[in-house]
Amino acid sequence: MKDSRLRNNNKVLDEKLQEQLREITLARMNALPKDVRIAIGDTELNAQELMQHIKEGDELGLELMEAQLEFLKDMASGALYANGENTPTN
Amino acid sequence: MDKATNYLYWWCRLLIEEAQSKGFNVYDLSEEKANRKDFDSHLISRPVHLVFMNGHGSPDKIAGHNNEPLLCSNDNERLISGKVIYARSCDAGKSLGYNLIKNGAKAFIGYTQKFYLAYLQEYVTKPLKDPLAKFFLEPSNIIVTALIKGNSAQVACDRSREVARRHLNYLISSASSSEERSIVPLLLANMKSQVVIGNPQATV
Repeated sequence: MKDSRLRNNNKVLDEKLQEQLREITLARMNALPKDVRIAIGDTELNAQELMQHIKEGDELGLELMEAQLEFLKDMASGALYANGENTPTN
Repeated sequence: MDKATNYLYWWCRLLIEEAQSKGFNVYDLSEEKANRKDFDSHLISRPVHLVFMNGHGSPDKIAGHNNEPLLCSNDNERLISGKVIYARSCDAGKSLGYNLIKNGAKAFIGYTQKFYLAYLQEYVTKPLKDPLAKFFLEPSNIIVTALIKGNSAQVACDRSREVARRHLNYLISSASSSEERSIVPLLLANMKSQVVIGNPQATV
């Protein structure tokens, strides 16, 4: 059965943190301009549709939250601002 | 053709023109020609060195026109034997990429997660001019450009990261607009999930 819990470095993120991350991700998606579309696979979504997936916590919603988490981690560690060294990688 | 595929189609034309200008024979299987029969037939009968796929993907397959599976695990992986493949598709780096290498592909470049593409509605009829899509498609296109210039798979990926890094530096700066800044996590996700599997020194 697919694990629907969000992981950080392969450790399951606790529920409170996951909820906070959900709120942050929703807020960022809500800030997407109306004419922006995000294509993911064979689906094209606007901000409201993306937010729906995040609220439902389905596979796509969790992936969007994971992308947001990685972005926050790189911002906090400074990796996002590095030029060449410490380039964000997996 | 859905809008995302339309964007990939037009951005791919740039690469086709570039490859042809360098004297490469390009076998362009676009639209209804992106079917299993033509795909297999070209790989069997033509001297192909680089396979560039733009199609909806999953861990075990990459699809073509009307989502017909073109390249699938435990099926026709051997057709990529001896070749370098770049799959601009979701998730194929999770499993299919490894199977291709096991079956003789020189190198696989692709993504272990979803490939995100942001675009602006007003540019759907002119994808090459979309100022948002370019942040996603320029780092991707450079992979093919680097390969056809004779660079290795690893160098091609490194060049892609350099371009993505330049875009990120701009996007996180105060010079970018709010719609540009909103896409940073998705561009970063593409950058992080991009992999080379197989021989990183492989060339076309």
